[in-house]
Amino acid sequence: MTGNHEPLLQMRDITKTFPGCLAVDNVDFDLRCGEVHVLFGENGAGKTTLVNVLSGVYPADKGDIYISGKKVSLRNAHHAQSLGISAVHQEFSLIPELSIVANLFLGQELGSHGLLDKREMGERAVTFMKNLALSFDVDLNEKIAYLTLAERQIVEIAKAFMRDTRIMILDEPTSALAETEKLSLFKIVARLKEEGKGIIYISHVMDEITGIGDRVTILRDGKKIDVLENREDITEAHLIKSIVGERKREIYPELGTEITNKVLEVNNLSTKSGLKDITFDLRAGEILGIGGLPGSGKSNVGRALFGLDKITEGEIIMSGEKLPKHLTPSDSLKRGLIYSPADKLEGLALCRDIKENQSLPVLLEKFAVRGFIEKAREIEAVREQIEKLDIKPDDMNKELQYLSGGNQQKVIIARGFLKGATIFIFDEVTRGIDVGSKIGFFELINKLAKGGAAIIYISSEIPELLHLCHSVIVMYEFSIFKQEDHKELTREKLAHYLFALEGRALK
Amino acid sequence: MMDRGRITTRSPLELLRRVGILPPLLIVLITFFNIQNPIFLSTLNVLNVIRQTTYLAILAMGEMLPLIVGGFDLSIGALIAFASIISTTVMKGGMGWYEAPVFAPTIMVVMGCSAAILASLGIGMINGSVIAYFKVSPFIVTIATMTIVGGITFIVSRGTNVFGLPDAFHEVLGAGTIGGFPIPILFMIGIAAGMYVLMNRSYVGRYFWAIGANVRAGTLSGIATRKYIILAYAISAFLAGISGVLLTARVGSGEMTLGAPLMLRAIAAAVLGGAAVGGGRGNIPGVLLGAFFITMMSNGMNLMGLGSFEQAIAVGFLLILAVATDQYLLRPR
Amino acid sequence: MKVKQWGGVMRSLTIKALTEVGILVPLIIGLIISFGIMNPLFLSLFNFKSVLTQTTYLGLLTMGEMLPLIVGGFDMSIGTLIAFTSVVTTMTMKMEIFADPTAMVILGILAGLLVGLGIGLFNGLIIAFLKVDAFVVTIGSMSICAGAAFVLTRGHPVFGLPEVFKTTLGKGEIIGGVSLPFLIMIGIAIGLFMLMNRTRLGRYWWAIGGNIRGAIHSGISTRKYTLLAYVICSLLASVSGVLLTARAGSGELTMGASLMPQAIAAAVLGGTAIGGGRGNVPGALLGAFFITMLLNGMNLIALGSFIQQVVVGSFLLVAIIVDRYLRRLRLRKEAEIWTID
Repeated sequence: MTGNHEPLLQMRDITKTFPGCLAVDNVDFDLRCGEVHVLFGENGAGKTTLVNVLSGVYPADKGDIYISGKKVSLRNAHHAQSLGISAVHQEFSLIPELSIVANLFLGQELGSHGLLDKREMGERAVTFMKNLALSFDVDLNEKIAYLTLAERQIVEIAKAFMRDTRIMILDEPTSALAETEKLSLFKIVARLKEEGKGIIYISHVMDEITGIGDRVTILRDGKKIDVLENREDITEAHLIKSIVGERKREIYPELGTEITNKVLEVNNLSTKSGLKDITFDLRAGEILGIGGLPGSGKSNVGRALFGLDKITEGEIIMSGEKLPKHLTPSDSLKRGLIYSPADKLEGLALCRDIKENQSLPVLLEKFAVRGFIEKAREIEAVREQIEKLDIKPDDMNKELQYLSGGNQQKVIIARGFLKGATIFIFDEVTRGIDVGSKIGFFELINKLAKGGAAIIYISSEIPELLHLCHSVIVMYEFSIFKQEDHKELTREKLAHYLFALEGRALK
Repeated sequence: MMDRGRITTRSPLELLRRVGILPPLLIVLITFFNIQNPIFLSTLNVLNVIRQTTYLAILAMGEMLPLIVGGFDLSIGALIAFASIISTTVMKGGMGWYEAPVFAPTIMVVMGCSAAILASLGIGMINGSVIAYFKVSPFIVTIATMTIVGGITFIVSRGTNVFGLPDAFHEVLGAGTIGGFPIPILFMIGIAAGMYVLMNRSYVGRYFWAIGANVRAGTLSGIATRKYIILAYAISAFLAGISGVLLTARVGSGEMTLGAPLMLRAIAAAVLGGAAVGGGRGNIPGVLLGAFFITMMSNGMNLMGLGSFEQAIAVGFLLILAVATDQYLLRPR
Repeated sequence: MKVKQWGGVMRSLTIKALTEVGILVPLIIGLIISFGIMNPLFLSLFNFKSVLTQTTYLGLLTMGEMLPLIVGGFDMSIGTLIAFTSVVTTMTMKMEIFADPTAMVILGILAGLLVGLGIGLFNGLIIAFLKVDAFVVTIGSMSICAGAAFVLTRGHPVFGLPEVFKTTLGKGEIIGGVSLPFLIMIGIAIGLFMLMNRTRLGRYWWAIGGNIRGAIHSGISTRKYTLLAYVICSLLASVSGVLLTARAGSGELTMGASLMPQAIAAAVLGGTAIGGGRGNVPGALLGAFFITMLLNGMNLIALGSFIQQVVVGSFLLVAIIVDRYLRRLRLRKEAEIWTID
């Protein structure tokens, strides 16, 4: 199934540096007609930079690009598009105040003599969305601002497919999609392949890579490590090995067995954000997984416990003490509960340094005497965390915007340590993070629990829920659908629960 | 592409990036003015520049805080006139609310100053509360309060300036000295020291910076972000009030048009001194330097015989030039 | 997956209508009724025409200011640009290069518009190409324009303009008592509306302000269109300056000082978002109309101009707060979680 061998795209010796960081280092990359070529590698390995160079977002410092054997120099995104390169980017490129139709045609509006042909665009958009066969029943004149995340991602994908494309770049296109929508997307990808187009696919999800990849190029630290040329070579084991390098180890650590007293009791909790009747207990030493499809409300459980979503009914009891109904983050922090949000950027002050970011939630409590900061004590504590968590770079005066995603995440975790928190809530802690760092996080979280902390682990990854957690709660339509112990759970059962199917075979 | 250019000329640019554009600009300007007119560097004139810096510096330190928390305060110019009119009106017996002088002149002066500064503080708290609680653009809110405060100032003054103030007011707060130091300068030094401690030694500064860099990070860290946003606008207005009172003491009468050009200059000083529009950056030494720079430029142009309108043009150009260099050449993007 | 849980269709429709047209329509109706009760003169045809004529200048300025706001910036310089334009126009007219006064008038107008073009290019180039903060740049050029106007005239108004200028562009009446300046404004409004809704220009402006990365990824030349927004803004301010000068009959240094905050207020009341991505011509015009009517009505009930200032400021505050609240109501549930903390 490896398409024909006609080279559609060749990238030679591509190098790109950013201030203080060599993002892509002399990388060669080929794409043939009719193949799905996966770019795989750790976060910060240079995948996104490489495709950004290809889609004309910024120029490479060095290197040549050939399309169908002809050398091109990409001036900007518009130029790249005119050469038939389309991209679904990680960060959404939609315009909130424009309608779906306007977004689909943005940059290539139809019309003549400078005047737009709105009716034609509307009709074409409707036909196009129908042919795409993604489940989507929103009025196409609705503004993007009023769509849900998943709906936006669908529009984003549709927009890229709308372009007359020879090379399609899909950079983590499925992060907000439900399972059925993913399947439809893969069908479209298959269709593109048949039409002889080239697809560059970036993903961290193993199943997707092994499922649709024809070839895989593996990047590490901006360099090309390996190319898996045959479909048979594309296996989970292989991929993980290539990422972890020589250090091959078990991904999920052994679960701790010492689960002691109840530290958190949630009774009939309902929130303004829509949660209904949530009840569960959490014990010291326990890792409690919370899973669910996008829009199932799983993130809201964490937000409600931390005081970010307004509670309408029910109670939260922490270590025997009933929490106030108008819970605020500072109430939760004071009692030793710390929350790491799904959107990393939500938690961090990017233009301030590591030190300030780490100590922010505990500044008053740990380092301030009558409101004045004891700098020596603060610096010492921060340095200790940087060493313990191996935060790179290890310069505490570095502004956070220069750190990779994984290291930014570590800064948030360091806050929990500084705080001496007893309850940690992690929401999608491994989203967009490379496999190597993931393993590090799993061990870290496991060690935390074994040390007596209680952990709520919110995730959309089935394997993580299955292997990392003692017990898993599955959310569906903002209620608990099922809670089950890890010993009884299987991959299939969990998948059934996620779609709220019980005892029926999953189609 | 830019990077390669940067590597070849690393050291000077690297140095420039660390200290900012202001110090070299300052040196160039001092040299230039001194060649134009040697009086420029005389002790008398330098002292004069420092004295003139006082009012702008206090104002700019205030304006820095809304900028740091990610907003603006456009009302500070109007607040100066407001403080001027309120303080003098109260000193003179307040629109017939009571017979003046009810108390000794000194007490009247204290009452007037306190009333003006507290009223300014109140306006600042209104600014901050609306911005923090209703999440309305600070630009709109402070432009609205600017209009409102301007209106109130005219209503209170009935359109005329206030003369005939107690002598103590001008003699002490305007022209007084302690141990040879002019009192306004002592005020500025005290406020600068206090603000420096607030920003760099207490948790409050950290909170301001964090909120400006990312409000949600502040919320997630358990900071009552609204409280600190209100505080930032309150301090800004409070300092504008102080600056207004000191300026009134210097000119010796309550003026309705006092401070109109100062708003622009205060923002310019804060921005030149490294406070970022959009939030998260800014520090006291930088802002003081910015205020000093602008005052020095006015002074130098005065010595060259150029009036305040030529100065307005120069301030405009320099502001754009400095920020453009800062944002375009020096900051990695 | 979609969440549609509105209590009633009516409520949803009301909110939708209010967020689309803004809260101006009910405000305007309320204002007309209350002023009409307080002073019946307010409802006379004569007064209505006078409000429309007065709307001309603020309307032009508001449409201009709307554009930088849409692309996510500001233009603080339009107020002093009016004065600068006024001074340059009148000084050029008095140069006596041609014997024919009409030719001099045209020359003067061209010079005034050239000033607008120049300042617009200056602002736009620095903001779009050097990526300097718009607030800082335009506050700088605000200072430059004010200074330049004073330096040119040494602080004195410019008198003695050709009569033809004052009569035609100042009080020129055409059909049914509608003034020429008003027709010019309407013409420009229609043109701008067509540009924004019938060509790609509007979409690109909304895109740049709404999500600049998205605009870049969609292949839009963001710098070009940002520049264009500032240039058109300054040009419209200059047109407004020329017309105001014709009406006042002299070149004035303080002209337009109070108009800048009013224009921003009108734009924002008319649904333009500070921060970018939202705003349209009918809204801007309604906003300008509202503010002009408010000032006119307060004049008729004999409120002092300083109390008027206070009232305008307060109206702005309240209207913005209500507008924000309504928009929050309309956001769908899941989106709300992500956009509002």
